[in-house]
Amino acid sequence: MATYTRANAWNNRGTFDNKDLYWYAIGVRAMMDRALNDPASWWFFAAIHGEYVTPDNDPGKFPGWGYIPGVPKVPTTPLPTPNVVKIYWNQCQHQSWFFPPWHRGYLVALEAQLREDIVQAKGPTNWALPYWDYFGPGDEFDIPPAFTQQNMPNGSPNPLFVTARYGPYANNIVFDPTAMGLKKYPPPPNFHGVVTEKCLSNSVYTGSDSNTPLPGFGGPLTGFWHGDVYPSGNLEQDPHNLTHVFVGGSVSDTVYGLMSDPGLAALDPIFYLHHANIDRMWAVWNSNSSHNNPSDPNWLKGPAASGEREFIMPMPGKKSWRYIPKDVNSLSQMDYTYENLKQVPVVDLLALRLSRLGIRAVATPGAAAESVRNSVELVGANDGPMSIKGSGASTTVRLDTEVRQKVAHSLSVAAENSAPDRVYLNLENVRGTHDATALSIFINLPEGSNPGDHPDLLAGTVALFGLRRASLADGKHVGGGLSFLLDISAIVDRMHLDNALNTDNLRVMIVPNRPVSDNAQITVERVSIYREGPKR
Amino acid sequence: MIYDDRDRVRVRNAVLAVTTLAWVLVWTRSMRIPGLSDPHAHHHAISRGAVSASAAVDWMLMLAAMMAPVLIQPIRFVRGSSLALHRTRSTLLFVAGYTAVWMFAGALMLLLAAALGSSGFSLYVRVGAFFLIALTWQCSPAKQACLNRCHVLWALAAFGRAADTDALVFGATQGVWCAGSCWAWMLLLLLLSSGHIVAMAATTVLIFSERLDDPAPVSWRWRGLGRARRIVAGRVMVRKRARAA
Repeated sequence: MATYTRANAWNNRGTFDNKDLYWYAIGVRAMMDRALNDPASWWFFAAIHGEYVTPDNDPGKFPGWGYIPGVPKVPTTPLPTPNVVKIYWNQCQHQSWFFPPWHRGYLVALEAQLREDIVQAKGPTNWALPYWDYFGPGDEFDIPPAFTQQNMPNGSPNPLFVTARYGPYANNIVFDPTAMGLKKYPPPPNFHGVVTEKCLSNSVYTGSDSNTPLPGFGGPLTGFWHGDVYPSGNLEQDPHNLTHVFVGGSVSDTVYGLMSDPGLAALDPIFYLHHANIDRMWAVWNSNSSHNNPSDPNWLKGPAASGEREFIMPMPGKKSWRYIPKDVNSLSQMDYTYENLKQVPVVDLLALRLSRLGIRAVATPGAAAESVRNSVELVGANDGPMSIKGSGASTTVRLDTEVRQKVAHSLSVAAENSAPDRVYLNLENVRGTHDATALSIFINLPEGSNPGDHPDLLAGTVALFGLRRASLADGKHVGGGLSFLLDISAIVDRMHLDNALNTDNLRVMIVPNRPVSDNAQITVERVSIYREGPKR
Repeated sequence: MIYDDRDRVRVRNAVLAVTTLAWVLVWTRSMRIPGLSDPHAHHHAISRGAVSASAAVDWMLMLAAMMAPVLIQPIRFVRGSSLALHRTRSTLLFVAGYTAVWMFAGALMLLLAAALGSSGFSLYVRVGAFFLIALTWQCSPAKQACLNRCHVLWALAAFGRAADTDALVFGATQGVWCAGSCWAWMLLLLLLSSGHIVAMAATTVLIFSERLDDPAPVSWRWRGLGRARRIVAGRVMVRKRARAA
């Protein structure tokens, strides 16, 4: 029986009547009262995730920590010693299979520090971090109201309130645009993003199978080498990245919400409730007995075993905690649980797909699932870089006739006990400076038509969380930017059924959720199409 | 860009086979024909104004032995970015571009080594001075800039002549940054009169280790074996934890 239970932030209507939120605010305030260089401070913990305050990272304008508008007033001095910075700051793991375990440890450490401060303030000794389940019933896609009040019930400033939190439509209405959220708040014309929990239907942590598109639920295998630009795992891409960018939002061409950028995000108290929900989703996924975390020693031992930075967190009492994924592999190893770990219905993607293709049954579904693993090849690509400005841009992806015919053949013979190829659209080397941007990608949109009229041609929506940092020439990504993978098999299936797959060109249109200025400098170096299936 | 897992393994195995073969050939040539595989022995030929075929072969073997391991990832990238039917062609073009740059750099270095050899300074002075130069370069911001650029992979064209050109240019660019990063140690190797195999092995470890390190801000700092040291420390740490558990 776990000592601590993380409960829904929307209990007691998400106000300060919810004692978990009330005491969270008390703890956050205590941590915010400490100096930047104090490992028990709010600011130090935010910098563990990522920062723009050290000389190497401060751009001298927003998003530098000295240029953040409104509250909270973020300190920029005193900096810790360079050695402390090197050990603790800028640790966050993204676009990696270490994304879930690193963040789990991060939450445990912050929660321990908050609990220490809450107990000091005579709060409950069993306090635990609440989670924001934006997929919950009613209006739970809205940010809990305790985060939008400028003052606490006693009139003191509310430490959970943040000025730079603008919401998906940049109008200070902060909600997560889930399907239910979009019903309450009808989207503006260019907005096509919808946040989902479809990753919970995946069955593979890293890699792919019939129910899991690449790179897998938890993220891609990331090893020794750093030049590669890996895509986010499916949990990380949707809902994690999308929620970050939509909750943060944007207020101008140069200033955006804290949540939209990994170097600012953990300054916003809603960050940790969002991540508690991501951590909960990982636990929900694990609660299905066939959904297993990697048994690969390279994952279990963590990046430190490969000479990378170790996972290390400050803990109360000036201690530190070094951990590896093996230490946080399941909730049963931890001393906390979640109020709600109910599984969501798993969608059988292969059955759905075969049904769409008019195939009633597969003789041996297991064999069909096996056949789509690990053979990947390029089908085609566009000619050169494209710049995303204004209301979007389009490009033509040329397909290799022979490889395209392989895809068509796989669709034709899918009834013969063989899963059809999965087809991906890949945005390669996406660079820019405005993280608070989401791009919706449409395939073969009729010339001059309104994208909103063709949801069936929407390949997906991606959030540019981490764009700025990934685009820095001498940063960890050496300016490689971000990469995005979208499973476009459903669109290809429909083309096949409409006898429209006999083409050597696909038109790809990229529509940003808000007009993109020249300042944002968003470019996509290559748009490519890959097939995944048995070698033919 | 999406990697094909089986092709990743194939590339690793093929490159390791090439580098192993190159080490064996370097070793046997140095055993069977004293003076060969010792670029110092080619100084006379160079000073006559021509890089001998033998020197070119030895230099090529040195490259294959020492540099091939750091090409595993760029080659995987080139192949993953190419149509399956063009993977071999793109790989060969990439390697040709890379090798061309290093062969040119090698000719310059051999000429410089030959000039230094006939400068009148003693061997110890030459080697000592160049060791200090190599150490200084190792710590310099310029070295970090080169190392960072070695990690850069950019999108390649998929079709036609543009695909061929991109693979070739990508290889040459990798060669430029690689030569920029490693020239000082390679030149030092050419100045040695003995102990080549050991020095080559040590330099290979250094080059591979520093290539595994994260890209970093461009500044003066000691760099080189940090990643190798951390790998060892990490393994020890994990073993200790396993024993404690």
